[in-house]
Amino acid sequence: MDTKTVYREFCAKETSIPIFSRDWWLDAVAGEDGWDVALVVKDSTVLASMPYVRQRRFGMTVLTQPPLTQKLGPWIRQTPGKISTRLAHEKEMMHSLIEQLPPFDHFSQNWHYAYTNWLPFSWSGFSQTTRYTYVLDDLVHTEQIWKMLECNIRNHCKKAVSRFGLDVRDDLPLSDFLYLNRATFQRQGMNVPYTDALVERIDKACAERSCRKCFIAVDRDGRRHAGLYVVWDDDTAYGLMAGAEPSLRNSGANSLCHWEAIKHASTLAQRFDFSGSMLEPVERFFRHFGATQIPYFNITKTPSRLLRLRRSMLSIMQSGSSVRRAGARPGGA
Amino acid sequence: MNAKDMYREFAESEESLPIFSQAWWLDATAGVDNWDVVLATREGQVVASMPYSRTRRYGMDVIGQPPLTQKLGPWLRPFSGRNALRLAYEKSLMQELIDKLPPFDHFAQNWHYTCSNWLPFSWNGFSQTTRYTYVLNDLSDLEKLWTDFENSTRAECKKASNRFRLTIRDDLPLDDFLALNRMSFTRQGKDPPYSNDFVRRLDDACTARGCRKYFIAVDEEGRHHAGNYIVWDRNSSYGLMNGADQRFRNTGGATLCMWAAIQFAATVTRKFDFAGSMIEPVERFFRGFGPTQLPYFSISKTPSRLLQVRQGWFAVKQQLEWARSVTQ
Repeated sequence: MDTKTVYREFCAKETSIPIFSRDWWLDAVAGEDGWDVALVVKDSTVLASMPYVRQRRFGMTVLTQPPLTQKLGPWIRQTPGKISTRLAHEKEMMHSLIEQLPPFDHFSQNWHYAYTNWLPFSWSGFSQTTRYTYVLDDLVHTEQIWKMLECNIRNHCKKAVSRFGLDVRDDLPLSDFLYLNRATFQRQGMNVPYTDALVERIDKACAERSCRKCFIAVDRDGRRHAGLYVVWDDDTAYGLMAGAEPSLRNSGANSLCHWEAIKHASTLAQRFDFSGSMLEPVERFFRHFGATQIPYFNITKTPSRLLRLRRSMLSIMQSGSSVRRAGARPGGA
Repeated sequence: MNAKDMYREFAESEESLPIFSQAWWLDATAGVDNWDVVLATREGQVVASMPYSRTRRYGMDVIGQPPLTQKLGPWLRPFSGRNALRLAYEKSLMQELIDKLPPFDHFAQNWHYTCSNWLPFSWNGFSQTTRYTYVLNDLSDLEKLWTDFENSTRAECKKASNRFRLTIRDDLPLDDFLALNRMSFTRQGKDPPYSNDFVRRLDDACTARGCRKYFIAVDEEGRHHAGNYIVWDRNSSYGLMNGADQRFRNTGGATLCMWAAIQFAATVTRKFDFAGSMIEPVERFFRGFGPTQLPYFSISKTPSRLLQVRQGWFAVKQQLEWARSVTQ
């Protein structure tokens, strides 16, 4: 049996594998042949795994994070015992996973925040930086969460219902959500980093496993104000995509959708993960939900000299343009 | 009163400030005129501080960290309140500290492991990577610490005492320790990053405040096998320097010294910080004592176009050398 088949069977029974590392998720986002997995198996027990997505770009092999897939990185079976034993075990597992990676020109993965030791990757020439996600980590008491919201979020939610008469629906077609999602990118003058077809594939795969829901705030005239698309696994519900109608941005619909999603998540998961962002305005919005800031690792390596050269040239050029843009801090809204 | 004088007074009274951020420490390591501090105050009280050392290298202003100074970075007055408010508080204080920094061409600091939010620095164009230190969090039960050591670490201690008859002395002259410390660098073919005089100056400052001790493992013939040097503040002891004589590297001297230092540290502080290392054999040595691995941040920024071009040029040069080696 090849490693991928072993991993597929393993995913079917190991509930601690996050949704983004599951075989069926990777099939949907990368295609059945677009991903592979490094695996440590001993006595037919999987001790560690690290799926990766393989792409060819300009003749280079790039191991990277597929769109809409927040985290990949290693999964390591927990071992009992002393701290020193655990660290030694982690090191051995990670070395073994690294050895199994195919040759690549560039590697970039975001890890799950439970993994806080990247030393073995450092010794193999990888680099690391810390990013953040925002997590509500006790969904049991939604009343408590409501109290912990900053008043502006509570006011947004109240305003959305009482003044704008918004109702949150979860039975509308995916295309309604996609329209809102596209509109948000357009407003910011950004290209959408994923295709409709990709979202439809994810939606189909998640629908088959009943682990997704799409919340859309609708007013009495049937206009769609904002939407939020949520997926979940046994542990956590994740805000995957959001969107809002640019002309209806002041109705509090975005806050209301998030609040409804959090209430729904509390019925089936322990945590709600807002999905991190390093952007200042996004960070502020999540913060106001009372979420805890949790660091996670971004791990990279670029053995290709050509790519390294390109990157250092880009950084020199960027520093020139950042001097010109000085004063325009991101998210000055 | 200028910021530095205000900080001197503040640092004397603020117990949560690590030893490496104390004004007297910076006087000894950077020199009285080569460090400064940015402060945020509210109603005359210091609520945030970030000391830094300042050096000129090749005409460039470099903000960094003096030798043997493991951590600097921001100190923020602890905030007890809702998450959303805490993050907003941290953000505004850090922004104020950043805004007050003088112009520089290169910035590099290691932060204390309690500082885990670098977002405001990210928004100001800084970079970050994670390194590790190893900490014994509770020194109150020495027997438990001993049993939590790896077997090999305990065996090294026993070997040092029983087979090689090593004893630990803490009354030998500083030059004896320095000799061991220099030997370690020589063995690795490295120049020591600090001079003997530098260590003597720092040692004087720590002695005056009664917060340093060093241990040397000595055999029955009086030969010095290994040594280590620790300093401490109210919260933690820190392994500052080590040294070993290559001829006796298999006698367990370094391990026995570390155990002696830990036992002593238990009489003055709650924690023992091994002072991190990203180097694999060093990490393995520390790990044997059963400490917790704690991540800390290394923060940097290079606004100088010139330095960036230099970094870029190194990449180009490597590329050319590589191309040449391939074509030859």
